[in-house]
Amino acid sequence: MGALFVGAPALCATACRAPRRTHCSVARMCDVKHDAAGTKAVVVLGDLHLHPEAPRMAPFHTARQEILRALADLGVQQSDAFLVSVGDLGAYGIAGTSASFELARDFLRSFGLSYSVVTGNHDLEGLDEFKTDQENLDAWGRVFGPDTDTLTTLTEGLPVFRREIPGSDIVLLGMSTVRFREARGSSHEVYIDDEQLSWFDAQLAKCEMEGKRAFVFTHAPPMGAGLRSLQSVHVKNMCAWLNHSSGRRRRRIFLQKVKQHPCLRLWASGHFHLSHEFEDSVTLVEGRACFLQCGVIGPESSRDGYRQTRIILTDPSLGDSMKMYSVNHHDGGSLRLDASVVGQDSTAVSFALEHYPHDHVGKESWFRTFTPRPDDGCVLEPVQGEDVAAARADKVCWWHTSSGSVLGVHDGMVIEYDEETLAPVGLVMTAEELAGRDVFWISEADALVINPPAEGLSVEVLHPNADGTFARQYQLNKRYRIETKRREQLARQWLTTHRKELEA
Amino acid sequence: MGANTSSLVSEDIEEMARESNLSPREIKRLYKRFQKLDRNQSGSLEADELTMIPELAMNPLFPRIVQIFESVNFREFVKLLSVFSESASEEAKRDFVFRFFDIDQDGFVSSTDLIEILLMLCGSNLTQGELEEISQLIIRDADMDKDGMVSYDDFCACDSLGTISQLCQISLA
Repeated sequence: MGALFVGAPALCATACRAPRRTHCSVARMCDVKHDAAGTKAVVVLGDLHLHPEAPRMAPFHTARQEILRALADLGVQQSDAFLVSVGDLGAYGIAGTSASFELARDFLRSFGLSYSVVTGNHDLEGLDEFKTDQENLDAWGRVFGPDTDTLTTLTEGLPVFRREIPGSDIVLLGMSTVRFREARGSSHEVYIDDEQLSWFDAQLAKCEMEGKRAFVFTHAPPMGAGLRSLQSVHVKNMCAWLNHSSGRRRRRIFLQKVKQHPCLRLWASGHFHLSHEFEDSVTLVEGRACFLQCGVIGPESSRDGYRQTRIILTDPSLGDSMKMYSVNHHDGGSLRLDASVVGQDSTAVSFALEHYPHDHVGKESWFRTFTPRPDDGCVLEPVQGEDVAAARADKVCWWHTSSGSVLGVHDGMVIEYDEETLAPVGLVMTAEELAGRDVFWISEADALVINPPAEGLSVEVLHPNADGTFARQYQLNKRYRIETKRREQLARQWLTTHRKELEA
Repeated sequence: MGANTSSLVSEDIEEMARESNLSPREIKRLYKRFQKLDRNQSGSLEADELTMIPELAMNPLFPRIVQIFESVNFREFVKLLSVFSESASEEAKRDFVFRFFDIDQDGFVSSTDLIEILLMLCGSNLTQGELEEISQLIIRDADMDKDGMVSYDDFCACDSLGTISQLCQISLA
């Protein structure tokens, strides 16, 4: 089963992007007429970050109306629409608190749709209210369990959900991050533990057996999803992908499951706060599994000015095909067809819009991942024999190290990539650190040599970490940082007291 | 028992129990834990294996702990941990803590040693001036013979209340 990418009609693309003031006309131009009977929709809400103040909630209430109107335009009955929140419910400052969970629950209930939810990294950030991650997670479960069965005996006490869509072959599966205080690296890593992975295995096996399609929802995407637009801060802090900071095996395991289970047909995630405007915000892996990056509704959360919600539409008259729509909240709630996935004997993705170039707005705020390809401008310049290669910061260059790591100079940074998926793993040197310097790779020594920016300064040699990787940990666990700060304050207090004693 | 820890015979357990302050039961428990940590079955613990202990990975003094525990085999592991046993002597506990602070292993806790520890505890937020001032004040309080460094005898004199012995205790049962 091979993937076939089909260019979209330019007329439709232009029409879809045009600003609109009336509802549904543009959507209808984009051929969204569906047979209402049997049409099912899954609405995926990206990171909400809700705040109780009325003016800050207003855009969300408007967005809800726009989503419900879009469902009506698509001919979907409310009883056939399902809502999934991929977490990060509370605004910065109140995230992870009981109050933020209750606020989000009330907002999700207000749609009048059956809903499910998973945790995002910020949902375990209630450091003042809860001592441990487990206490924080339990509080989340107490709020959402009665509506969604999460963290109840029905979900084996796990922060997951399984929801079968009646009258269809679709099963929705969700998994949650369970670690913030206990994170080994950045607290913002989205971490799925072994218990949930075992549950996931069992659910996928069941889907295979019953001939059902699995749609998966997690806060962050798995590494290898092919999503190529992400914020550089998530790469720098090694918290872009599921289990990103937890070693090669744990972060690769999700893509292995995609390969193992043909029933896995869709995986939606948020976390990046980036819109649906970019090439590769919808991807197809293994010729059948579609990955969706989901944008945000809140004006304060948007990183590129776009505010969007995803709608996934399935229609039994079209076999196992599906269509992905965007509700453009930044554009009065206009509805746009983004992509169609046509299943059956061969799978094809048809992109229904011309994607904006990646650098059309605020380029500095995100990072585009690259995969080594012959036409990507890769330059390897031998300097002294075969074992030394050099690059300037303004060139693209790749090296495979003997320990299996892949290093690249790209966008003025030295980046480490995963050797299996070639997804970015972390930063070795930032653009500021590398500015104006040359990079040499000495393969015999497995070391990067960085030329000084000016004469008279010494050459810097970067050796691999103990595990053979090169990426540096730029952000430490949040609890660790808070405790370090507390000790710093204690040290200053101690100093002040002792100075006074000396003076006395 | 050699470097490989694939098995632990009763003679080894008895010998280690004699050398340490631990009971055979405690040694058996530690052995199970050691085997779990020694993922590559090399017979000794490497830094990345030590980071698998969440409580340790989050410890601000982790780099120093790694210096002490890295590459230790099971016998050395038992010896090091026996210091934290309830039955270990006060002197053994003090000796361990003194060696912990004496980073350059010159037999004295100097201002340089203390600054390194302070950096681990407080990050790089304290200025160099503050770090030096704090370390000098600590040494001034502890340095009985006024030679500008804290010797082992100075260190013991500071611990007249036996605080180290009380703090340096963990349950290995």
